[in-house]
Amino acid sequence: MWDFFIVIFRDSTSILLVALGILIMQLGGVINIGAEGMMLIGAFFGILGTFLSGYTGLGILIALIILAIFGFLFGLMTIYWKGNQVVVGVALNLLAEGMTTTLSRQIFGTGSQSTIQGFKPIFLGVSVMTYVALALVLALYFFLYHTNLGLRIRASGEYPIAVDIAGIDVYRVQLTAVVIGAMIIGLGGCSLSMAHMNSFSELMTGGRGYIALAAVALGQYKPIGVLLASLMFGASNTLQYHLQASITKFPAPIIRIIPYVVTIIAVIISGKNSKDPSALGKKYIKFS
Amino acid sequence: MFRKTNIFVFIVLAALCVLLLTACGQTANNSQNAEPEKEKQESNTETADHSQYKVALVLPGTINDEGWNATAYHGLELIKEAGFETAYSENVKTSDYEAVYRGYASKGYNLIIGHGFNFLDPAKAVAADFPQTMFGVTSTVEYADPNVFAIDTNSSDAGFLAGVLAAKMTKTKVVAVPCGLEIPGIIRYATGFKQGVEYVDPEIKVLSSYTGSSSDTAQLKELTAAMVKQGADIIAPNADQAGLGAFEYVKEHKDLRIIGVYGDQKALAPDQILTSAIIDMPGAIEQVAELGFKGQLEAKAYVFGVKEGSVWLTDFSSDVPQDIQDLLKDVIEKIKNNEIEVKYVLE
Repeated sequence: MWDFFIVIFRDSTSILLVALGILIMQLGGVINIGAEGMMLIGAFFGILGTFLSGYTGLGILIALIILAIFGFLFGLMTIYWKGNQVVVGVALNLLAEGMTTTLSRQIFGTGSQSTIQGFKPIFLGVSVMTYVALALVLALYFFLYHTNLGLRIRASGEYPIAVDIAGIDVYRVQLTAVVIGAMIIGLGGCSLSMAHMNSFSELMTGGRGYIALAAVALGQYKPIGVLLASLMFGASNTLQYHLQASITKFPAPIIRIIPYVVTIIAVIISGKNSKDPSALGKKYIKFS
Repeated sequence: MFRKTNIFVFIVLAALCVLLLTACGQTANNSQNAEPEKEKQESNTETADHSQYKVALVLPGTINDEGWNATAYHGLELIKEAGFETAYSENVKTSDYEAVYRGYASKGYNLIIGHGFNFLDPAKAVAADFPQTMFGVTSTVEYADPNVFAIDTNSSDAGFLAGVLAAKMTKTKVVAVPCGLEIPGIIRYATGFKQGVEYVDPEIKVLSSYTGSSSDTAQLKELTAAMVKQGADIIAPNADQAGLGAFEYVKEHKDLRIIGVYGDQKALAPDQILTSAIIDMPGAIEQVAELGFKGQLEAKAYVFGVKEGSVWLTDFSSDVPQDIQDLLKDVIEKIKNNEIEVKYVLE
């Protein structure tokens, strides 16, 4: 039974991290369809950095720097230049797919030349990334509800006019949220390629960015809720793997839909309680 | 909202794209025509006649994807080396299959190969208008008279060999085939694997399932983990790139053994791989071209397996005892003599 929990935590770590990153962005009022792409970029540069430097820590640092740059550009385009957030997000996904695939073929060739010494399980069978993710849940809770900047971010997503009238630069607050969020998403990518696997492979994120997007809505925009939603996805995935492995006579596609059925049920049940930030996806034009 | 300047910019950009497109098209054509020319002169001495036979390959993806499309392109290169005149189109969209087919057929290509089962319907649609051209479609067994034929590599044979080896090597009496996409080539590998295991010992349990993704390595790793939990100790993944996930898991657990597929995957887990079941698509394409050159191609399903020399096992690792190696050589002989019949089925 305990093994089962380990698998659930292992499987949901990357989704949880990405969801937390999306959470902070969306609370700030910026929709991030590009999470999948950001995750892929994080996964790739984490491996590349480790490969080049020989240290996992340095690899993660490089991934975070790259993601901060991408987050900054994303914020610049959506917040300052008023690009459509969904369109820019989709563009980012396409860019990330092409960029990581091309770079990985250029640098690593094909096969598993990108293999590194990733993170080993340290305590109770899961790697340090899982603990980082859990710690981040608490940290984000504190940040969003008990610090100035956190409150400003949430206000910008809810009612930016109020923030503006209070004399605070809404754009800068949102940009900060986007950059921090992008970095956390990148960490999620790193956890997939460096802790769950030890190598990068093309398009390895496999839609986890979108699942994380759903997890944020399901978690009702609260860190604890996001944690529970991510664990639910992890659990339904784990169930699916184990059913597939143990029931061989049953058609696999029917077992594979379990996570999606679970999602639909969860959305139906929690849907009416979940409220998006009021200014989510809206372009705000400052007074000054 | 919509200013005139915007429209102007769109039109200019669109016009630029069209111009560039035509420019690209021409250079591509030129290079295709120029290269066989050179080839012709070089190989004139031995196989002069081959150059009269023109082979075109239509690919759904890029030639350097190091996977599905690259293997077919590699086959085309083999043909080219043999002196055939060749051409290819890559990254062709489904809606353009017919147009590309018509293009090559009207240029007088004798053999046009579409790489993938979804080329079947366009081939059927075009074939009647070009009775002189043979249309080959890979990864299917459907064909249509008089000039659409099917080319397939017999992954069931490969699965069978892997299954026999796995059944002989397992200590736990449980073996696993974690698969990626549920497509004919992979399904046939899994069914062949089951037959191979059954041939040795029907008591042995075969776990097989699909993740539905060819790129999600983490998913395949978890599926492998779940199968190992069920007791499997020999893993034979078949999931394209996602197969790396299985290798990853196996490397973390030193008591497991793994069997590669398609190419020689020894480098992925040198200490734990038993062998790789090679499925030689390039060789199959070369054989088809040779048949076409001899005028022997007909509307039927050409399946390239052990008998045709397109499926074999690489050198065994030292973990495989000599008697099991001999048994497998014996099995290969028996398949060649029709003493063992591997069912080529999708169920």
